[in-house]
Amino acid sequence: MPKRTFGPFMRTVVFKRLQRILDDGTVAFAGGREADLHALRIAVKRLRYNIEFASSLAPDGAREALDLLARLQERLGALADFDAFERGYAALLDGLAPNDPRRIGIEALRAASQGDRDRALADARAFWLAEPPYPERLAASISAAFGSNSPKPEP
Amino acid sequence: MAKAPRYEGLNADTHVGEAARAILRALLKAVLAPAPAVLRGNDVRAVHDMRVAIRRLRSAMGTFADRFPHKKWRKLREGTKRIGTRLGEVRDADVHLAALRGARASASAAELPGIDFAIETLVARRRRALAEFAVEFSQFDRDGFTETLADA
Repeated sequence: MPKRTFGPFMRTVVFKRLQRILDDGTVAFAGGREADLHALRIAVKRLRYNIEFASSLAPDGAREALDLLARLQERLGALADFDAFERGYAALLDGLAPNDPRRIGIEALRAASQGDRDRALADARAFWLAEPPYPERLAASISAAFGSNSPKPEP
Repeated sequence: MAKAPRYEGLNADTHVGEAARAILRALLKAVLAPAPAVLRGNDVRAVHDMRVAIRRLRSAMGTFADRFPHKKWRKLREGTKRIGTRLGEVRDADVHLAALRGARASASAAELPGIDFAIETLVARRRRALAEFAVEFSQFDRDGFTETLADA
């Protein structure tokens, strides 16, 4: 059995994980649903970490790909925070009577957080769709770092 | 975000098993380094760093799963996931508390009782989550981890 080496192994992993982001991103930004955005955020982190593991294989440490992933992860992280805040406010309000004066502050926080989430989603969508579109920029940066994933022709 | 560890001496021709061990050793070290500060209680930065280090470690454990004995590896992955989940609850509370403290600064008098109630609730939740993390972390099998990496 041939020795399995780090370069080809990581190239396969990286391109597989890239494909996941390209698939998940389209769904997540079309609907803006929490579960889809969460799945995309996890996919982004996995690809980012795997590129870090393999960065010694790339000419410039895969800096552009890592930067693009960090910027998307930051936006998705903000959205995840607002979704977590929403769950927290809903739970707090559930435990308070309708006339409890503490509701005023929590309802104000909730409304502000929902507005912030809407703006964060619009910002993330714009980042994904900006020209040239994010999927193209990411795929190009990864191909530049690790080479094309298409099989090499037989000599 | 916490800086990634340096994975020294890896190149395209390195055997995958050897690369996996080098990466996993570096990541385990990065997970364990902030633990004393996390367990002391209020170090938000250490909680963040350890949380990210656990995420990286879990990702590497998935990538290189085939290189290690299946049963042992599954147990180690489950243990790593458990400490990640517990610490995630602490981190979520830290992020929300920072937002609430920021909102409090510009809140009206009518809003303050609700915001203070939310802060008190989260402070108590963070305390509980940290205690639960400490119990989980005390059971984290770091020796088993090191031995498995050495055996593979």
